[in-house]
Amino acid sequence: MKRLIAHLSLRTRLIAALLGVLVAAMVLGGIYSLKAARQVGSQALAQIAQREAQVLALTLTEALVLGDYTAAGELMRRAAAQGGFAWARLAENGQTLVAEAPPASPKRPAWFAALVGLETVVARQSIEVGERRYGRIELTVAPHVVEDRLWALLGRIATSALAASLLLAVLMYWIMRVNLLGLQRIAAAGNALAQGKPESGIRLPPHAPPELAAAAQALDAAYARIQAQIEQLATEKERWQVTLEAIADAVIVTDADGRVRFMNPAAERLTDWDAAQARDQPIEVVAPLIDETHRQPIPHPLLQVLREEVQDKTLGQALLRTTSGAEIAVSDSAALIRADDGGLCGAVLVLHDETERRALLAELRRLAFHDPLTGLPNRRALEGRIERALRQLKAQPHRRHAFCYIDLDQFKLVNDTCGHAAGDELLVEIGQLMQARLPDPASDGEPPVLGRLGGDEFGLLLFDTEVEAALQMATAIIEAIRAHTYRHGGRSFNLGASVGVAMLQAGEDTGHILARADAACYFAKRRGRNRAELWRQEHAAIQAQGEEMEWIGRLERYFAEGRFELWRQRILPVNGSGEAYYEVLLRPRNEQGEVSSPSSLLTAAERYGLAPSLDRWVLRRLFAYLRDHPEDTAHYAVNLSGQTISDPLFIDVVKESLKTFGIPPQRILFELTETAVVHDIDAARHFIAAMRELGCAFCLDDFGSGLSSFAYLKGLEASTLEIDGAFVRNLDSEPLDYVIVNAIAQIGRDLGIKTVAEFVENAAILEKLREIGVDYAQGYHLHQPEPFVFQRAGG
Amino acid sequence: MIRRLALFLLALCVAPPLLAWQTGGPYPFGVLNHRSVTLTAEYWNPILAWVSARSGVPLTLKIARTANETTDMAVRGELAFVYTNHLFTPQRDRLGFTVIARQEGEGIRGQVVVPAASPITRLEDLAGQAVAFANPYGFTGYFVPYDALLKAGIEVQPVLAGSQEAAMGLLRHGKVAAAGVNHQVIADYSRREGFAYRVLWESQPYYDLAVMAHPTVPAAARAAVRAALLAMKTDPQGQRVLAEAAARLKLPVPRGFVAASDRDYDAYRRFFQQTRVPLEGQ
Repeated sequence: MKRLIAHLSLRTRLIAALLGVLVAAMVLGGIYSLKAARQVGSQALAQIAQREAQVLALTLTEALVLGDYTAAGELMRRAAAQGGFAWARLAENGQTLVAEAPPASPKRPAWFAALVGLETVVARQSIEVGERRYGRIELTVAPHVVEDRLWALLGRIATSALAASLLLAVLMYWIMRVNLLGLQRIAAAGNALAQGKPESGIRLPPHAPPELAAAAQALDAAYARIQAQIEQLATEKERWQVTLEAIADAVIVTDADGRVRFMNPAAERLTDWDAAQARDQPIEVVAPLIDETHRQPIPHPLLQVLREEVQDKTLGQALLRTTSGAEIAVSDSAALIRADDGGLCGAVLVLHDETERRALLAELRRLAFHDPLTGLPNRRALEGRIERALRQLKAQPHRRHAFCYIDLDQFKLVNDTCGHAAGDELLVEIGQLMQARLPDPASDGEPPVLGRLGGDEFGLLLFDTEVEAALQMATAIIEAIRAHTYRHGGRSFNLGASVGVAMLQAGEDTGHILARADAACYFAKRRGRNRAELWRQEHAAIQAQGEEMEWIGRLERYFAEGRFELWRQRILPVNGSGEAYYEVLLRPRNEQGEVSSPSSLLTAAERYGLAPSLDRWVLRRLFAYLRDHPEDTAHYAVNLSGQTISDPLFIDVVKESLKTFGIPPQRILFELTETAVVHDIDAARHFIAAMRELGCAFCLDDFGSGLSSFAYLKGLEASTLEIDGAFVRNLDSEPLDYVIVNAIAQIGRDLGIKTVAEFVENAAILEKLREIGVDYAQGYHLHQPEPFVFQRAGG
Repeated sequence: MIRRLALFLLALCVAPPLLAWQTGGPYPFGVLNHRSVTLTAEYWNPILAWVSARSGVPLTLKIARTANETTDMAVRGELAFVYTNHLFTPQRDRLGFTVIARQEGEGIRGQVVVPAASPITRLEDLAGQAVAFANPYGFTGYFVPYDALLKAGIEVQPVLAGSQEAAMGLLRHGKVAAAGVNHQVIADYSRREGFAYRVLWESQPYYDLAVMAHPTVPAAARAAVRAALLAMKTDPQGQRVLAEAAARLKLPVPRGFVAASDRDYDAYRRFFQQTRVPLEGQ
């Protein structure tokens, strides 16, 4: 039975249930109706009989009161003819009247009468008027009277039930049609989804019930979600596939037994295996790894992580042996793949082809220690070699090593006139030239090391070489360079070289050696170039050079310790007209608390590119002072180095500082030396124009010390000329200086430029200046430099 | 002997047949039915039952379909007692019925009435109009009002309805312009049926219907019935019967019986001697 029911469709179940309920309702209704009909029919029959008797009594009353029995008999017959009763009898004082209805024709079938089971009813009614009895009526009513009515009623009920059943059937058909159609569409959508051909938007028939609509919506939502997940998975798959295909590393995925399931193209290329062929092959067959040193197979990292169930393992360097027998340096790593529930799914092996990287590393290593232009060891390599030699000296103090600092002369001329490419070409030639001149080392000796320190500077480390031999070697190199002619664009160039030689001494560091050789080279240049000089402790010029070098090391420390101070010296109008102003001076305070001359400091800073930092510090320090001392309304002249004005960012620094500290630009006058201007004339013009536009003044410092000063004067639009102190210092005694200062003052007047004379150290000089007509004077005679007094420490 | 036998046989042949009460049966008591047969029976049966029980004289109600037929029954000698006023015409007066009692009350009057809403306000307005009457035997329902119209010289179209309430029905439904009625009957009708009417003319009072006894009724029976009737209004049981009977007819008060004699009804006899209404054998 259950199996039978299980095979019934929903429609059949609904119809069967409906029919069952209808039949049961009809059977039960029939039974109850029959019982009710029997009971009600009996009562109705009795009531009818009684009513008929009453009606007959009323009909007969008048006739009986009148004693007209003939009329009474006639009335009884008429009443019987109407069929209200089957038979009636009136009895009074022995008289009897009887009336009988004609035979009836029942409308109900006999079986119905038998089923209902009603019986003939007898009713009795006494006729009394005013308490006098006129007779007694007895009459019978046949059951067909009620049976006919019941039959008719049953017919109407049956008709109504049939109509209701038909209506119900139509309604059920419509409901089932709507609902089953919706269910069928939902089922079809579910089947399509199960078959991987999902359809979006289930179309339900109109008037579909909300439950079906909700089910359809849920299925639609599930479909949309699945579709989105499928798309997401596809996207993810594509992304990963593209990623795996795109990455250069070989990726091999295996199952938990170490058999290959997936290889990316890089893995195919690396192992020489086709992915399809490699599938299900053991990993140690597809990607066998061997030891780099002994060329023996090593435990496979992927099998190791699978066996030990460690999450990942990086084994570093190994060789991959391909099917073609090639051995490729690889770095490898392996990791487990686990499912969401933690179950082991397999492992992934990532092999990175190290061939290129190792070549690159070798190249980088080479580049790190060699000059890419000349191929010679670079500064770092040279320093390392010197450092190693110095260490050797500690163990072998008897050995003598020399370092030569070689600086080419006139190389800038080639660079400026023929371009950097030509300069580079020349440097390569010089390098090769020097390399060719190097001596052969002794059989067990170390070969000399020639390297490029930077620009047009080279270094040569000579092992086991005495001073004289080193100087001779340096001289030989100088001669070779001088003898070499470089031709470019139909022009010929002959370069020179200056060489500084420093002997390595145990206990000293590389910096000292380089600095000494550099100082000796600088000294050689000052002594006329194309010569070699040996660094000697007692040589004053070289010592000064050494001091400059020492400043380089001190600068940062002085900054950190706040040892730089701002001083100022007043510049006064010579003839009393005009407004005095100050020149800002930078003074370092040494460890003993003494203020020292800044000349070597400034030279070192200029030479080693630290001047811009000092200039910025001075500028910001001065602006901070002016901001904090509004009572000081004087104008200030600030010296700038050539490197500073070449810095394109410095203009913005000035603008920003003026704005930040709220300083009127007109209070600031920048002093540029002729050297600074010559350093980069274009940058100087740009800077001066920007400062003039801003409102700052510009002074050409040390005017007269250079040969082309007048040419610069023409193009730079200076507001002030500061006459070089060399012409002022002996003005009162040197007629020639008088002439020069007078000429400069005249030029200033003609061009409308103020002139300033520095180094005014006595009254006679001042008098001469007044006589000449110089506008301003500056010097110890007029004002001793004084430190700025800041309100706040460090401000 | 033969002569005596012949005379006896002759006597047998010409002698009237014996009446019911003369053969030991109950005394037929006729009632002039102003109302329907059933209402009349409902009213009188309890009274007659009580009187029978009280007097020991068995009485049975005997009425015909109409008052005229009842009067005809009395004329034919079928009634031992009769409650009527039809027997005072010169011809019926000779039948020998004797008054033994009458229904108490102020008497009856003949009236000519119209509906309360009728535009007719005078008898003269009835000239040529249809006027309903009960039947040609009725005293206050025919003779008295019709006589008044005739003596007033007003010619109307008399319509005989059969009974007084039938005449009132014609009036109520506009079939006639007026009706000649017993004042008591129309008052009861008006109260029972809610019919408003207006009186155009009214006669002198006459005693209400008399209970009369056939001359053949034994004196003892007559006296016993008379006594019972008169005792009825004082006897509690009789009062109850009277009250119930009056309630059936919705009468305002029960009406008992009082003593009366033939002389009390001379007014009737004088009316019939002077009336202009044709008696035509009554």
